Amino acid sequence: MNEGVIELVGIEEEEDCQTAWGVKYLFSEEKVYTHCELDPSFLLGLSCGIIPFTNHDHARRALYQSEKHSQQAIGFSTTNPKIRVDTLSHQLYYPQRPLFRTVISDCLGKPEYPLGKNVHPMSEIYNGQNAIVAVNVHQGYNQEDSLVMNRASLERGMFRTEHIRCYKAEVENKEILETKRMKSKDKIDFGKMPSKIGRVDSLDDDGFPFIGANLQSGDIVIGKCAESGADHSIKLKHTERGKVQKVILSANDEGTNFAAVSLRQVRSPIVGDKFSSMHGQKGVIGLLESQENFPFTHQGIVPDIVINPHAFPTRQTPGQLLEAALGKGIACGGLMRYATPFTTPSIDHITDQLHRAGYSRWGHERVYSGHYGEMMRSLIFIGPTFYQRLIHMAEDKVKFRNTGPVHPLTRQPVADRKRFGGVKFGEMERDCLLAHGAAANLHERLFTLSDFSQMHICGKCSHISNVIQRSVAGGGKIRGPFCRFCDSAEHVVKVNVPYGAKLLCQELFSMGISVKFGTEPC
Amino acid sequence: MEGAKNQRFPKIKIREMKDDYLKFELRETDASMANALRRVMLAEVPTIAIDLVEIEVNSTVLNDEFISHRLGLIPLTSDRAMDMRFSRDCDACDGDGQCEYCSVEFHLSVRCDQDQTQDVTSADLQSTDPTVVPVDVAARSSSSGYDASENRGIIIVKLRRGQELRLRAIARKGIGKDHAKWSPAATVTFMYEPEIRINEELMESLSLEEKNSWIESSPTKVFGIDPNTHQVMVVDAEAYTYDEEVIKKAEAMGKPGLVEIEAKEDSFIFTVESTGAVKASQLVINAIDVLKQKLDAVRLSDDTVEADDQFGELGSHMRGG
Ligand SMILES: [Zn+2]
Ligand SMILES: [Zn+2]
Repeated sequence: MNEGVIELVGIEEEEDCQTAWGVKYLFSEEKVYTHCELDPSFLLGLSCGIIPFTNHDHARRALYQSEKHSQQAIGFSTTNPKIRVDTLSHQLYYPQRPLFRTVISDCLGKPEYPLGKNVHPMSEIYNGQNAIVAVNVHQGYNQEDSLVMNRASLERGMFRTEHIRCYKAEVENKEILETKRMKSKDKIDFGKMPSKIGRVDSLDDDGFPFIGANLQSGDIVIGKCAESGADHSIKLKHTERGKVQKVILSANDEGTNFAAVSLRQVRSPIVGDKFSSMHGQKGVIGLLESQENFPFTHQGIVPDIVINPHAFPTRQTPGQLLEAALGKGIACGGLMRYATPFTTPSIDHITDQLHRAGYSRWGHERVYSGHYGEMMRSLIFIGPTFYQRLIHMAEDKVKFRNTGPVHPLTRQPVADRKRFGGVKFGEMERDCLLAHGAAANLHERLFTLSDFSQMHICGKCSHISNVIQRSVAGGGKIRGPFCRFCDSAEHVVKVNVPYGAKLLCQELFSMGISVKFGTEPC
Repeated sequence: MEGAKNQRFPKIKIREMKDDYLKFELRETDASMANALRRVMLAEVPTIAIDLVEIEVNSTVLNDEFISHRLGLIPLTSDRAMDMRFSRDCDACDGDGQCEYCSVEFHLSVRCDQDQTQDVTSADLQSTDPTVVPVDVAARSSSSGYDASENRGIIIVKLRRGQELRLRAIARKGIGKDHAKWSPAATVTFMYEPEIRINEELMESLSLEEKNSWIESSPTKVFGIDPNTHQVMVVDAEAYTYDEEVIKKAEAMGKPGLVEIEAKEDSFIFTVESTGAVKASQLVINAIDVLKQKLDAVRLSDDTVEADDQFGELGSHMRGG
């Protein structure tokens, strides 16, 4: 770079450059070039350039991986994993480097790495593990992009992750308080006090939980109270729980003291967790299967993941098959290890390498059924593939309720998961029940279990009659529905009406519009 | 009885036996038997593994769960496991899982007081029972053909100056079905013994070059050629992996039926590799014991007696005629 051979080009500069793909274009063609790419794969950028065999994949799939999945994959924080206090961070227990290499991944490593000249570090740019993947149908548990995972592999630590959530709370610094002389405001400080809003069992006297405390939903994470006795504590939402990882006390630039408590949760993959290969092939777990139920090869190799063959024809990602075939050769000591886009090894090279390693050329193997011990009729494609665990996990998304909080205005159930809300029963769902003719079910879903309410109607004049307090001839006062139009309570009836409808009538009434209701007994 | 007519007496022939490796032939039985044996070896032969960890001090880089998980995966010598009780049905401690009949206690206390990084390994685990120790520790003390300098033990965590790890761990008996840490088997697999018949007549119609390319088409060394007579012969039938490469090659050469390969329905070649918790040979014996117990349970259960009325003869067969 000092000699001016290599120039780092910015995005704006790039517009005015005429860049050659490679050295051979630089000299052979008539065109005049100002620059030359070090390797053709460099034009893809980092996240796309580390995908093996990208040039064999459909462009959309490459984009899925490089834009979406590479962001969502769980890896390991490179900087200060011990002291950082992100609101939410995920770490993979055992991150791995993929078997294959690309020119870009090599450029990121340091050549003077102690393990030797050809071993490059920087596994941290990869966020996943090498899984043995079989392309097969597994009892219908991997339909529609779901995948079957080996429970034994997971119990041995594969794709195990920890999730750290941080809770922060601020208090005004003593000195600042004195200078500001804010007497009207109560002085708020950290501290433990018996709280009405949650359990404080795990808190120490200073208001913070001890390291290792197991906090459940509803517990108080940071105890904070005012001198007057008002409670300002921070409580866990009903979906949140974990063990205390660390407690940090610090101050920010304005001089306010703050505390950060981080809770850790360790998760092993469960049904519903999302995974993806490097070729935009995402899927969720459909079943965790025991090791002995998987098909096994004559060597006793059992897949970690079984994906459905239907994932390939429409998605057009032969890159993944090539990755698995190449990876299998590498795992058996093959020396051809590069899968750089645009300069990928030819199919013949890959198949020959597999053949030399003692496998059939196309990467498929004879397997024995794990359930019956018989040979399966067809050969199964199996090989190591780099898989990523994505941050979408079933545990963060489960939603259930029977009764719970309702919206104060509409009196319908709330939708928010954090507030123990429900799942919306929308118009499409309504159409579905209509089509089935399930009227009673529809009535229950949309009315009885939602915003059931009652109101009074005068049967004679069809107007709404309100509950009022009125004096009766005898001198006493009674409270009850009364029609002011007819000046009687005689014909008043009670009807079941959704609260939403009642609310609408009341709003119209406030604008001077009266709504009439026809009633008949049923 | 009717059952006795079809009764068979499976035979086992041991080919190769090491502490952690066993290769044997299983003959005169069928796939259901062979597979049952394989499945039991993987998932139902009991071993001992650390199940409960009480952490006193942990100032290492790894969190408590991480260390507990790693401890659980350390294989422990489990020759006692078959006679031990499951802690869930232990009478002596009311299922508490803390008594000597169903558990073994371990202690670990390491502190780093040097500038170099210190490894905490399985060798630092102090067992209260000398028969239950980490497998690498056991191998070192027996020292039969074992290079101690090469093996530093199973690393649990690495410490820097000032970091400390102190804990109490309880190991219990369990099976691989409950958690993979209790699985005694690293690999259990079998293959059907192949029967290879070369069509000599058709083979002779090939030139030497064609013969060589046909032999080369198999990824494993199954066939060879006699340097003198140029005759193709089977070098190692068991190297054949049923990949059908040679059959496809023969078809591609326009000579279908050049070779016929069939799997013998009743003979299996087993390969068993153990984690070291029990010896590979003992693993097979234990598996057969477990399988027997399971069959006994079926035979003696009340269901079978009830089912007798429904299925008649079948029930009496199951009880051994
Ligand atoms: Zn009226
Ligand atoms: Zn006990």
